[in-house]
Amino acid sequence: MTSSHSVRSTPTSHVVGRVDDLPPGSSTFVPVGKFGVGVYNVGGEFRAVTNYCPHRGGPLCVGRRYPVIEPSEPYQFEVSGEDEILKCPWHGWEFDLRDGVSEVGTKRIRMHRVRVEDGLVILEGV
Amino acid sequence: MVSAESRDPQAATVPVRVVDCDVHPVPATMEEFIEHYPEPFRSRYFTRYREDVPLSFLLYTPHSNTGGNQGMGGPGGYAMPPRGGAGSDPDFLAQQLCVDNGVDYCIMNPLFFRPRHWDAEWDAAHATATNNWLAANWLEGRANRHGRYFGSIQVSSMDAQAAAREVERWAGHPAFIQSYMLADSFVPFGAPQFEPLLKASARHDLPLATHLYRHSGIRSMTPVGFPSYHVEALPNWIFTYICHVTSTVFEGIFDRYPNLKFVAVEGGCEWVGPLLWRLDRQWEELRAEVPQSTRRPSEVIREHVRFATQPLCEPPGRGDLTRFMEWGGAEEAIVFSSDYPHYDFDPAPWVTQQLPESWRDRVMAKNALETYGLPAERPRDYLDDIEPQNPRKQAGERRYAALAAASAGHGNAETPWIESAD
Amino acid sequence: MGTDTQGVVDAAVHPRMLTSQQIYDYLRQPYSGLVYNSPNRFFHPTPTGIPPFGEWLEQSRPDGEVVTTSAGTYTAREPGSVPARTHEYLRANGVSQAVLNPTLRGLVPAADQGSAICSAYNEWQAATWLQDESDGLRFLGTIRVNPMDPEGAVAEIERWADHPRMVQVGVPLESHHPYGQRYYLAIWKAAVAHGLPVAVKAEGGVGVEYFPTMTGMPRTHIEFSALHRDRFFFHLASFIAEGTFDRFPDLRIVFADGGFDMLTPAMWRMDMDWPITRTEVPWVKQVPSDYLRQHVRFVTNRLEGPPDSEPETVVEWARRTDAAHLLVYGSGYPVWSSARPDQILPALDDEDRDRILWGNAHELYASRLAATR
Repeated sequence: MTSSHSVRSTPTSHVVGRVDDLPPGSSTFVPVGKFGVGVYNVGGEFRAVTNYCPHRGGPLCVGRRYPVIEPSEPYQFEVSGEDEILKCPWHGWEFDLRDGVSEVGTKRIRMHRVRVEDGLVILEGV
Repeated sequence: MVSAESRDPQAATVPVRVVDCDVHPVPATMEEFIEHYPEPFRSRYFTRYREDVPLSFLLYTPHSNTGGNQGMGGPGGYAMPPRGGAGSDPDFLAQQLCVDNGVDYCIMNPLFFRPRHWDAEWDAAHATATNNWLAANWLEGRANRHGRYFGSIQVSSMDAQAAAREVERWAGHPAFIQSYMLADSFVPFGAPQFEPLLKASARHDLPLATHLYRHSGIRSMTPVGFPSYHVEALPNWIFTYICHVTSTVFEGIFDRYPNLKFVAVEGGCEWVGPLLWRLDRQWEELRAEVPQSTRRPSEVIREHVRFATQPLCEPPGRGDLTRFMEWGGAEEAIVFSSDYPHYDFDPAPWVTQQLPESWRDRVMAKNALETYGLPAERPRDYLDDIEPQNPRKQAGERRYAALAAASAGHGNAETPWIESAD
Repeated sequence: MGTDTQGVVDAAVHPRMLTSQQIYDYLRQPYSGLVYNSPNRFFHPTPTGIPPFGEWLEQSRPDGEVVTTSAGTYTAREPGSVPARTHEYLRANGVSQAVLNPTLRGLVPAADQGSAICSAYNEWQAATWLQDESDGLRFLGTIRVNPMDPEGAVAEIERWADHPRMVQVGVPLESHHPYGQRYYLAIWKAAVAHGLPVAVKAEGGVGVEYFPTMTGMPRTHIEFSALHRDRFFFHLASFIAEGTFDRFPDLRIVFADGGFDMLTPAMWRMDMDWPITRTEVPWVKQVPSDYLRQHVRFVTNRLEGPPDSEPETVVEWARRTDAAHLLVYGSGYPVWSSARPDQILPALDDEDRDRILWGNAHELYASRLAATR
């Protein structure tokens, strides 16, 4: 991880990495907070997710990403996007990284603010 | 969560609070398993072109989660040790279950490589190989230096005489605590043909357990054909267990062998209450046909049958789960299980939280201790002195390090080489 | 709701032909020249020399009665075939309307022959039982169809859908594919088009079925009795997983043998894996158990459920399982385990019992059931 001269990590913000090192579809893990935080580039926008699944407490950020699958007609599939959905490695619950909402039901994942400054991705408030 | 503070760091023994009745170890390598395979099968299949010989078959029905590819397995997956597949490393497993999840005793039910349903002789040899491997790699020596691991003597359901011989072979081994048959069968386990196995198990005070395999093939067919999807096949399984339990009760096996216990593993437990009621009503009217079934089924089941909790359901109504467990005999008949390292495993701390204080410790430990005759206090060991770290944070770090290593072309295998069952 | 304003609706009466030969009155050539199973060739026969002393209620056994039909006169041989006895049983139960669902002769290997048998049973119902208006007791019928012949089944539904006494379509519990699979879609479509629920009921004999349980053939009758009804679940899970209920929002399924006691635990299990199966079945739009009230009913069975000696448990169990909305009373007459209304969940309050004894049936069969006097 490199940082430019003028931006440093503070107790409530962390430099995650360079934007150029985190292209769309990529992710990384920041071992801060109680469980760690996964930082994801979702179609050019950054999202940060607490590494704790609201279902039964699995390490959510160890999971893989999948495209969006909409409810559809029997035997039809409506797939869009590429990697907007994060699936927990334990029981496979799925959450939309764009807004933190689970794909079914009402559970939400805990998300954090991420900003980009001077070519750096900065996680805030953890 | 079982806290470290509740255990006196000076004590020489520790009270057992969590017995996990369903853990699935796997071989780290093929060689580790094959060296225990009896002849003639070893030479016939496992020396030359052994990649041509399928040992696994399609899980029925497969789902992207069940292979562990979504993050339980794969590079840096939650259950992946530094080397080998999920569940292949005794020390890593001890860290995850005994330290991170507070488990005192782990009961191992090997569930890799489908049984040889077309050949009773090979199936028995396969069970022998599994037991040889389990003993050498998990139950003896360095792997079990903490003494927390126990195992099930796998036997074939296709030849009860061979099964009885296998039980005799291992009886007396300090770590084998039950005999164990895969539940996929077109003969339910109370049927007369299993008598030699029941006799041998009872003679050695070993409970008999069963666990579904659910591989592809005719034995996974339902009475109305083959279901299409995972989401329907999964709940269908409870009926296999219901059949076996019903058979053991009405065939009167517990009347003939009063010390015998039957353990249903990975069938869950929410259906037990309704089954007790149903079998009692059926027995009240129809018992003349089965004079060998001398006692009320609900009494027999509470005394002789055990139901492992996993997978524990999440019913919507407040109190639904605990009431159904109470109706199913939680005080004596239900035992905790995790199914580690499969995708739908139930962590001990989470299960503990679902249960009311009044019978929590019965389900988490006491019922299993009584069923298996295990000591309620165990010697303090080195695992007790390991502070639980931060498993989720560590899992995240490990995952991303492994992914980075994988994309750079080295590191642990991409997919588990052994197909995980459930 | 008072208990006296409506007669009980018995949703599961299984009349049998006077003799096994009576079917030939309703078959045409060449089907009338073929050989069919007799209607009580069961594996796992109910013991006759010990309790319960045979498959049938004593009261249902004929005693030399001679019955005249428009096709001929018969000395009744089969239990459950004598209308007067059925009347007697039903009236004693306070029943004002009964839904007849005859059990046939097992799955027939040749699909066209199976369909011919269904047609024969439908004609027999229409020509005999459904004409019977004596005693103020009203009989309603089931359009039996053969799922092994979807085209023939649709034609049979079309043929009878406007008959004023036919209130549902009937299919066997036994099949070679779970009923949600695509082979059967045309049948459900036709049923829904005519506002007809579909009753799923175990057959009256053994033909070319698979094993009745997940672990093969039960050795004893009591095992068979305790286990075979659970076959309903494989069909129900299939309807849900294949999106049949999403495809047909008005489809209603009645499981006519019971098995309700296992529904709730099995559905909880299915609910648990639904969140992760969107990649496999994204057309299942609701939590599986949310389909139940709209799409599924169960006939009551007195050999399941908590003991009546524990009324508090019964009441709590009924609340947790939505029993008052999902159950419809059916005696099962003339089987030995036929249940009187007073034997069904006596611990429940009047409102819930009224739902089970007639309210849910009225809702299920809607305009096809007359309001009783």
